[in-house]
Amino acid sequence: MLTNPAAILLAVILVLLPLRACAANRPETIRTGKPAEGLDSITWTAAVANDGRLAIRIDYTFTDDEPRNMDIRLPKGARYLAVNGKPTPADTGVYATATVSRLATITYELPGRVARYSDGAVVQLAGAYGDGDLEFAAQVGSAGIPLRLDGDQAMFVCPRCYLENIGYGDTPVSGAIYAPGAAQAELLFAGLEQPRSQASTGASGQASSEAILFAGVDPGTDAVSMLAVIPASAVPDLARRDGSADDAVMNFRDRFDDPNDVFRNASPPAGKPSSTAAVLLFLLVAGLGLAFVLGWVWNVGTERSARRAADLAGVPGDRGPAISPGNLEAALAGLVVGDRGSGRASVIAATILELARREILTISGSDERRFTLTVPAGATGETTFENAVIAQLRPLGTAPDAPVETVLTGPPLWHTRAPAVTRSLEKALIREGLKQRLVHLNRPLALAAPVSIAMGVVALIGVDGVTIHAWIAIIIGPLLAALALKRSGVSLTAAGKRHRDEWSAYAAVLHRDPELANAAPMSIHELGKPLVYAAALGAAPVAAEALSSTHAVER
Amino acid sequence: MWQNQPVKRPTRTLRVTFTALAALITTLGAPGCGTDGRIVALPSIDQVPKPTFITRPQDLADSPQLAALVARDTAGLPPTSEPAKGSLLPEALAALAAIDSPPTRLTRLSIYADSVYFNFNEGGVAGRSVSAVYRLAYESDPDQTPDFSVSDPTFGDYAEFSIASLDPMVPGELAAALADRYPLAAARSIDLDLGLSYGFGLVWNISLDDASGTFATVYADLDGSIIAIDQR
Repeated sequence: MLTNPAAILLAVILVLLPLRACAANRPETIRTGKPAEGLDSITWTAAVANDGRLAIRIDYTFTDDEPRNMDIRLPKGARYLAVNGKPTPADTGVYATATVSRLATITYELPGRVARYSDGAVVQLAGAYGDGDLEFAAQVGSAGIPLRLDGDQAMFVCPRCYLENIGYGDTPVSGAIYAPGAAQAELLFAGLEQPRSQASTGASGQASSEAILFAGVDPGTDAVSMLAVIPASAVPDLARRDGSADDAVMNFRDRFDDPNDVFRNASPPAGKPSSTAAVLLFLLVAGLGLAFVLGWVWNVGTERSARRAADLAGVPGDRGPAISPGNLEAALAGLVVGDRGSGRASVIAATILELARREILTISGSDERRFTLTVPAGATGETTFENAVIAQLRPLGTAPDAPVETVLTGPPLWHTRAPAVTRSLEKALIREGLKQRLVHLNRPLALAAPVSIAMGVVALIGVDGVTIHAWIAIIIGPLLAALALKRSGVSLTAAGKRHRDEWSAYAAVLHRDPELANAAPMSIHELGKPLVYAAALGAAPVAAEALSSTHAVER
Repeated sequence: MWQNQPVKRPTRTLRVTFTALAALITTLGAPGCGTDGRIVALPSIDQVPKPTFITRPQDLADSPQLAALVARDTAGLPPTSEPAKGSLLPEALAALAAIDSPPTRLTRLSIYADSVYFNFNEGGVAGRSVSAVYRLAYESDPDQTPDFSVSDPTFGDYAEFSIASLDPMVPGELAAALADRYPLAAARSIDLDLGLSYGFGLVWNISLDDASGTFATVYADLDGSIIAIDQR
């Protein structure tokens, strides 16, 4: 699996999904991306008076002490403007300038932003412009401008646009609204990502110090708008309007078509569904991780056993078995040993040699540089893989027992059909290995596709903030799993590993035989079965190369 | 070589590469590590002090927002214009109330040094705008009787406000406060007009002159609270 790029990529995706999900699920954790250059944070605080006036304080904290020009754009109706505590003039009440450094505190009062209804009061720090806005339409006529949020009527205007030397990026925003009963307040933000809120009754526990705290991330350091619903009792001196607070909020939100103007609810600190999803994801990844570790430990153990077995069998010493450890078909011996042998190996060559040894086909010629392979009419092997090889030797690669004789010359034996032959015989050998229970499907990879889908679905339905990643897991994950399964889809069974250890030891003995190493294909009748296994186990590179579908095979 | 793939083992180089790659991706992708992002926490109540409201001072000359108004250096010369006489408003309103069919709503109220102008809809009919002027007697007038006149109606579509919402003493207090705070400036006019209130609602609009001309506008609520300064 570790040599399989698809498997590696899939593993990374599946590991990152729960990591990100857990991070997104932690209610106290709000994460920015690349921070906005020059601006460290924004703190916005408001107090609500009995008559609905708002006292607002905005703290801009900069990342350096450099003096910078600040264009202050106030919402219409703002009064008592002060910058860093100093009363400041404003052109027509909305434009002001100041030179600030490190910290700029803007304070003002804002009337007319709270509307009281029977079921609550709506604090609206959001405005609209476009054809849907009557005032705007009256000013500019019907210009076909879709309704958009008006940054000038927001909690604060775009800092990046009005503050000098502020770069594009994310800015942390936090703050509070003080109002009697604020603990029950509901906050909705536009332009603020990952909004969170938490009620605070204040140190004194008095209603006047009751507040709802909030925090989030301002992506792009743009204007942020807010709709807050506070208890109607918080503004007893404000005239009551017809309708309900919920309807007022809904009516305002529903006027916008632009997804960027969607208001997000500041979620409570402990979201139960998200926690459940995070636990599920954690269990999934923990299970996968455990399976991986156990598999690795098992693998290491079996490798050590194999080395011990190889040592006992005489590898690399002189005590190796002189005869083959069994009558396992040479191709299957090559399958289980894999690259544990050294030199060039080919199970196709081994099978052809075995067929030649049993005189099912003939190999003639003077040496490995020029030989003729003849497959008589009606030739058939004893095993599935032998028949598959014979079939590939036929002109159309079809039935092995063709009623005509086939004569091939080599090398190269397979010519342009080599890649197709390789693919076809690979599948045939795997099928035979599965049938003989020497290999089985790679279970973790076989599970990867459904696990990937399951993890993505769990993340999508229960966890906030990982949507894109979850979609990748759902869509790309199974594709990667299929690719990985295709590339390294099988692994050895216990029987396969036992055979691997035995045949590895035998391969070491064969490797020490120079006659086998230099044997040409037509030497099969002189050298017999050892040459067959030597070709499969990499101990007969000359014969293997001559008959292999990849011809000059490099290990 | 295809037949060996099912049991292929990674080389040391591949293992090292994979380990490094996994470490890199995990570091970059795992929240809280390696990226240049930041963790944002909900603030504590102590980190977000409660903003306070400005209260109207007893003496309007102590209005905190007046600190935003910086007098220009006019070499000690007095303003060229006469200061608006805010204290005229009570008697001007009384004269207005004495006319036949007196208005209850106005569209504009302007106070100058020697006169008070009222604009209102004649008979309360929208569009029939009339102007009434209360003017102090000229010094040369032997009777010293203020003059009060009402114009013929002309068409005008202006927003109205209620006379009952006014405190007639406020313009006088404002004029006195500004004169006290800025002796070398003069409130040339004191206006009440929704069109001159610039989004503040309905507020007094006071033009301040010095020896160099008009240099600022002061906005004050109907109760006299000075809420904003617009200084050129």
